[in-house]
Amino acid sequence: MKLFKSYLIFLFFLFAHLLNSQDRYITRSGIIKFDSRIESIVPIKAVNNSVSAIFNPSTRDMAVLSFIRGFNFENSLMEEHFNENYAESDQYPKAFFKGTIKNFSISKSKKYFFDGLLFFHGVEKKITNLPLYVENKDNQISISGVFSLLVSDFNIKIPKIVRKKIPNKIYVELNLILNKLNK
Amino acid sequence: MKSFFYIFIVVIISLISFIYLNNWLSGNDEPIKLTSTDFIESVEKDFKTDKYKGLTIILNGYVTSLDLDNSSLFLDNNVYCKVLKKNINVKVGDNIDIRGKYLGYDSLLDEFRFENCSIIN
Repeated sequence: MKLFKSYLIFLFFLFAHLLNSQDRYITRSGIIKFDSRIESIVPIKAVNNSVSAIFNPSTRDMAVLSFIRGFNFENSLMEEHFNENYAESDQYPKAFFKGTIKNFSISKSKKYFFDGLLFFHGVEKKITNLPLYVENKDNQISISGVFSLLVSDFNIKIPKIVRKKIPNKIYVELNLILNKLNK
Repeated sequence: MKSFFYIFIVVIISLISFIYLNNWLSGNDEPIKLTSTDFIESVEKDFKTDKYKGLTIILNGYVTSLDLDNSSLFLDNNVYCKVLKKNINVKVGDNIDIRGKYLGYDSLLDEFRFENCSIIN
């Protein structure tokens, strides 16, 4: 009887783990764009098409990772400046968000709010009520939205001489299409 | 006779400088070549430094999975390569050389990420 009980406990944990892993959705090709939204001859905007993310609807946890060197600019000189002088991508190669969605229901596609922590440039910043649109369609979950961040919050110093060209507020666009994990 | 000696010395120094500079410049463009297993082993020795990040590398390994929708493949299970060309003309099990920019180790998905990859053979 004791052995049978242990067997049941083992099965419970095994299935709990399996259900948990089946519930996860992942992507390796998420998109993050950022834009200064300031009119200039060479606009400050970049796109990263290699963002990875995991979302677990049952625990409501989401994690997003992007490599700073994965941001591509139209102007290669600007990309070099971004990596070497501002984001210091050799020292801080990744940006990471870890958060939880509030009041989530998988059957309802709508705007939800996320709370979590954003790690970038050696700084950990608490994020609350981040508005993102979540849609569940054809076994895929898409998470998208636009929000703004302040460069000064991440210990990035902009020299006075270029302050007019590089504003403190940067608009970030996130677009993730996550598929059910088959691994 | 003395002036001839000086000219000879200047020519020799110029020649050595030219060879050295030429080697140095061309050496910088030459990507590192590694097998994917040696690459993984080398990165795993020192995750903190991740010494290859941002570099263009030629990797040799076996294709273990393909994702044609996203133009990507896995080499030896853990190396993820996003290929530039839309049509990937390889199949699972093929031994290939692939050239790409190493972004870094993805701690979220436990894999090594390459982008802008092109298959050499």
